[in-house]
Amino acid sequence: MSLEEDILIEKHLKETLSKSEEKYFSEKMATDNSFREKVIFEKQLFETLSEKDWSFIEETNSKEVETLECIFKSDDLKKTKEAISIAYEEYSKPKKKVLKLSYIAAASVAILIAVYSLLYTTNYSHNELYALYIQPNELRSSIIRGEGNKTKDLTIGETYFNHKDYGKALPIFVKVLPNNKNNASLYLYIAISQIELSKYNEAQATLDNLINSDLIDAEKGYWYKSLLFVKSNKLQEARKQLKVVIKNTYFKHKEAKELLSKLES
Amino acid sequence: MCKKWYYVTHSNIKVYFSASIKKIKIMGDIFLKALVDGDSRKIILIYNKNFSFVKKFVLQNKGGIADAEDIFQKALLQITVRYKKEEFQINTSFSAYLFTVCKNLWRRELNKSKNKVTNSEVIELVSEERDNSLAYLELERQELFVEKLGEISENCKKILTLFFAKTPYSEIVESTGYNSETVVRQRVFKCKKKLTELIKSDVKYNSLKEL
Repeated sequence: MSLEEDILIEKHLKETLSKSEEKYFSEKMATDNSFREKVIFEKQLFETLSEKDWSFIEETNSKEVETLECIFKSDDLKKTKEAISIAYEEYSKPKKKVLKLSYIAAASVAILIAVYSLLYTTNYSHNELYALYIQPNELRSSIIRGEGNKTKDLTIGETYFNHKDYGKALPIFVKVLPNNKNNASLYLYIAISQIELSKYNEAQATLDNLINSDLIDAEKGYWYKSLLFVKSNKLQEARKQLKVVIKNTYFKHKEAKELLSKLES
Repeated sequence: MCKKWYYVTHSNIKVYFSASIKKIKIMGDIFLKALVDGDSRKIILIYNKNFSFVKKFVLQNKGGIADAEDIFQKALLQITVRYKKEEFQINTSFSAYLFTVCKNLWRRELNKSKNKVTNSEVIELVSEERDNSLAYLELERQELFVEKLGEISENCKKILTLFFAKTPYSEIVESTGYNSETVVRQRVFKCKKKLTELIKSDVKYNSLKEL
């Protein structure tokens, strides 16, 4: 490129061409391919290397764009997108703050009073009793550290579960169950999701599977089965399960005593 | 209490820093793989470490919190696609790289809204995937041009930076100490020629020249 051409292009980019120069420039653009290419490249240089501008790709039929579009549309990338959204939701949850001891003490007293009045001074519907005793946040995470890819679905499922989106959580848990049959928490995640979605028969089957398994935590199934019966208003059956929990001092036997006395009062 | 490495000898400092660089690179690889694998637990760590800086930058540059969130997610997707295509290694830290991508994407977004005023129909018709693909190539081009600008002489870099910022020739004469505008023009011409040669001879330019 000659210095004259360079000056002409520069004037065009800075919009300082005179009318006659503009006419000459347009004619050259229409007839001289090599000049047109130089203009395009110079424009890219100007826009890219100026802090305030940006060099956009305007119209292109480049195969590279098509290839990239396929990658951006792929299922793999959708998965990444979903994981980014989940991560952002987690990130933007309010963070726990460190409270002064005096505040903690005052809050504890208030909670004790509230719990006492809730447990001992009121009559509850079966739904309220269920809500009072079910503590999904007590479930032990079923994710095993260091298992990378294998736990990806579980992570997504647990995130939905923690957001109370049981409709989305349940199919994920059911999908991963065949490969995680030794994971007692997973049975409980499934059963609670089913209870919350009013799929009581399915929940009972899930808990029976847990109870009949050889897992150490199999006994937890009885406590959750009693809650299932409370929720589905089968109070007679609930009492029966609670008695099993109390008699064998199974998981949550103290709470079972409390709940039984409420059901019988 | 002082950390142990404050007491190391000069030769050990080198070892410490090379170990640190190695650690930074390993972390970069971990984050890149987390993105490709869709590992949300590790992606939360990326948010914890970087999002506040990006948010601050966007807020200081005519944007809102929603813009910052959008740019951050787009940047993570851009990096994921690049890693899928090339399995590259980040030479600086992951955080620095992510911040640069966010900055460039925000610069693009600001210019896009400038263009929208005059060319709204065209912009609206572009799908999200196509826009991401175009952004990918524009970012690639931008990185290549900046990289090559960094390879020319200091004098050329200075004069071209002023030139591309549309600084009047009279001011370039003053700040560079050249005798006249004519000399500056010739200098700009030569430096630009050198820069063009460097860009066009790079393999990465092959896929960009059709754009």
